[in-house]
Amino acid sequence: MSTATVKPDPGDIQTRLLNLAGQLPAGINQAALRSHLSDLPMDRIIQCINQLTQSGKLEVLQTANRELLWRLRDASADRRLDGLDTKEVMVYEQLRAFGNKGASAQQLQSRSAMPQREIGKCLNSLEAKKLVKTVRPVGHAKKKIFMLFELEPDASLQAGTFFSGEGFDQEFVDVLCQQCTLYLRRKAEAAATPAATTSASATLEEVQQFIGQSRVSTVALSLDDIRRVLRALTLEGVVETRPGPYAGAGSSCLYRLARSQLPASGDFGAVRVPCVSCPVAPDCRIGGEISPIGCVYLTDWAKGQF
Amino acid sequence: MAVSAVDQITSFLRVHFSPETAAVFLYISKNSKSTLQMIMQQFRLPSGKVSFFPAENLAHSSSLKILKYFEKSIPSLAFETMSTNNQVLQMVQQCLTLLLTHDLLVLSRRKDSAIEYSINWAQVRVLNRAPAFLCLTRTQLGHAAELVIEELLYSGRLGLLACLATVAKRLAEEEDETSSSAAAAPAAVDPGLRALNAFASLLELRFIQRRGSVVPPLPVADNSGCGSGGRLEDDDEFEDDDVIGSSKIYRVEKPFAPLSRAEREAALRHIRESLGPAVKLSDESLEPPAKRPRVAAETTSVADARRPEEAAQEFSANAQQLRFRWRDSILTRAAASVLGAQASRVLAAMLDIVDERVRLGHAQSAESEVLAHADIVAQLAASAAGDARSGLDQHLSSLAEDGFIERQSGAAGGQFRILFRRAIFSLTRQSVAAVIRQRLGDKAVRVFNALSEEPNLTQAELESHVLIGGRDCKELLYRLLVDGFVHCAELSRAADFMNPRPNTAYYLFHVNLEQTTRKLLLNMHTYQDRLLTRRLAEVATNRRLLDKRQRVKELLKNLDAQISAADSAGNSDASAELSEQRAQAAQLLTPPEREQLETLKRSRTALRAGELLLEENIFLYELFLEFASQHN
Repeated sequence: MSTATVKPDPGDIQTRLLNLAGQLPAGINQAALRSHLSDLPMDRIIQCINQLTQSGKLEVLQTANRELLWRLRDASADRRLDGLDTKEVMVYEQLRAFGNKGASAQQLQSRSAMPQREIGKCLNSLEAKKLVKTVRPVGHAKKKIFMLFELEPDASLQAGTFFSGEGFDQEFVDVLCQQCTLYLRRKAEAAATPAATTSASATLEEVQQFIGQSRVSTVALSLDDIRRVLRALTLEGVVETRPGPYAGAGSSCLYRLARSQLPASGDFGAVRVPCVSCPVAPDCRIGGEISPIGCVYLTDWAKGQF
Repeated sequence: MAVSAVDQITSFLRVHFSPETAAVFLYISKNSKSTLQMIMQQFRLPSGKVSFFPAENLAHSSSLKILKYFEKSIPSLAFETMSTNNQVLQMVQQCLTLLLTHDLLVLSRRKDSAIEYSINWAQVRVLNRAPAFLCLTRTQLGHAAELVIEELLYSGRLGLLACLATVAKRLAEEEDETSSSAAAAPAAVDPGLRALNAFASLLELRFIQRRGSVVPPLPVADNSGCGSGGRLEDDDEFEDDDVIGSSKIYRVEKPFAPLSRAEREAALRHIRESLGPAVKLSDESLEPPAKRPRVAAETTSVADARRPEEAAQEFSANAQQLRFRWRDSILTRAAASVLGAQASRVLAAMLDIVDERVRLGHAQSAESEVLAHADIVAQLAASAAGDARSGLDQHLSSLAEDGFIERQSGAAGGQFRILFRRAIFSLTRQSVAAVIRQRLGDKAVRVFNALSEEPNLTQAELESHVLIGGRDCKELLYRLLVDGFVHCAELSRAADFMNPRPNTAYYLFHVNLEQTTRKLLLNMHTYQDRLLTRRLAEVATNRRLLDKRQRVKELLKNLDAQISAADSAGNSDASAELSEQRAQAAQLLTPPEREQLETLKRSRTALRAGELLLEENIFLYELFLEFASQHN
């Protein structure tokens, strides 16, 4: 009696693979295949795995050690990935792992060990299918970061409220500063004693509300944006902060116009002397070409002073 | 010490005293710890003649520097004199006595018992600051007090009678000028009494103090054996005696003892005698002016049972008290500009309490003693700021919030301490920020303040803090770096620390306020020098016109005297003729000349005001550096 080699039925192999994937929810690696399906030839196993992957029952993952894993695909998994080839799915899954921080092409290459050209083709294909999008991070206009289409980029990548297409929008920030100063000045003038009372101060929420009503910004400004603007004005000496006992939930201090900005005050001395801000002061010498004796700045200052 | 400060004092000594004194001062300023022998050897020429301030020594210091402070022309100073050693010795001794009277010398003794003379640079600074001190005194205590301080500052030490006579005379002359130019009512208080009251107030507030006299050297017998050729003998024939030993300066136990009744009577009598019957003086009101309540009683009056020597005591300006008062004035003005007049008065009352508790020689401290709430209320009640008591707690809270004072405890209304160091630090930072704002704009102030609060930031971190675009922020940062307001530290990223490259290093920016203040202090001195130069140059340019105005003024004064004499004699014809002459004399100055004089006056006033403003900033920066060095 002759013993003929019985070729295993592909359906059986697929069933066994699916059962094994169900037993190992983390995924099946090659070591698990050898140990659980040692009776089966490897080439048949690989063939069945490809069939199952293409049919969408298994998905391919790659670990940090570049080891392939096959995992049962969730029934509710994204059907958009149907029709993608293995490499595209692999790239997509890697981008999913990076989350909203995204990854550059170089990072994908180092994780997947795929050639750069292959990765480029996969990314272009995924972009065309609107599964992946490109983000340019702040400060690196030439760099491309890829992430899943539905994700919001992380704050570290985002330009932020104060950035426009051409970079930092200084004009917009200056307008915001002017509006904040205007609001605080009105509060100070309306108060009985601008220097000392709470009525001359404003909370962060009040300033945000005023900015929103003034419609100087087409986008909604968050409390953090307003806080940054007021912080810049505090550094400039236009605004000062005080601890607020009746402050709102979003802030812990009150903002008011700095007392040096009030009309009754004066500056401190020497800045009124023209030499302090003279553009040619370093070149001024007694007896030199630029000298205090013939200085027109001093002449004009003396005429206008008294 | 800036060269200009020495030149100013040299010029002052030469104009007000003698060229020899100026020469001795200049020599000692350049050669610290000079002995008498060294000073005398300096001025010995090979020909055997002695020349004080020979012409060749003038070459290194421009005539402009010598002219600048007192606006007077100085004649050529080289002269031949002194035929004998002892005449030279006597001259030098007198110069040293005069310098010591002005507290311009510091004495020390060498191992071989010879006296060494060095310059007291602190007193040089005081004399340079005299205009600012006079302005302060006038603001706080009035014109009469200003004249008293002026006399004492520029004379070094003066007796009571001499000082009051001079001040009363000046007040009387000013009243005459005022009454002759406009039909003003005569002053309610006569000049003698005004001078006396001002003097008593100054003594009570410790702006002036009693000092022991400096005994001048005894005349040395002329040693005619040297010959008539004027050739000086060798060194070993000099009598190198110590001129002024400490035992020859009387010491005063109570330098701030108020004027006694006997002193006041003697002063008024002397003023009456010196001014003559033309000036009406009142005999009454010999009682001292109303005194302020003092927290620490130090008003033990020196009774007439003093020793006769003390009756001849001299008085001098108390520079330390002037500095303290100036500091207090700066703080109260800062409080007024930020918190209002009422809060400023509360702070002024607290400073008055501190002042009354400070003793002579008290060092500049970072914080005051603890002041009780009740003491502050009492001080406000006694002063003219009684209305500041309402809302006192509010004002104290505001002062504490802004860093002027600190609440120590809440018991019995609270105890408070004035924070001098913190207040001066804050004012200095604001002053530096004001300079930056003037030079580089508001955004540069943002960068400066951001780095002051959070040091060691990179450029990228700074941009997000201050909300300034990358290019603008970089430009501002570098301009601040070049001007010395901001400093940079390099931190290499590479292992090769020896050769850091720009792309392998972090650059961290920070503010070093002490270093910045030192640089600004130097700049302020330079600017002050430029204003002074400009002012003197304008006077020199218009010298002819100023002389003409002075001559016209004197002519008009003479004619006025003649007119009033003619009127009192009843000679109407002569009076009419003189009046006509007066009218013609008044036309000697043409309208364009008057306009030019007016422009010159405005310009000089502006420049002087600018010098005072700079001096105030210099004083603030010096206070800051003093506190900073104490902290270190």
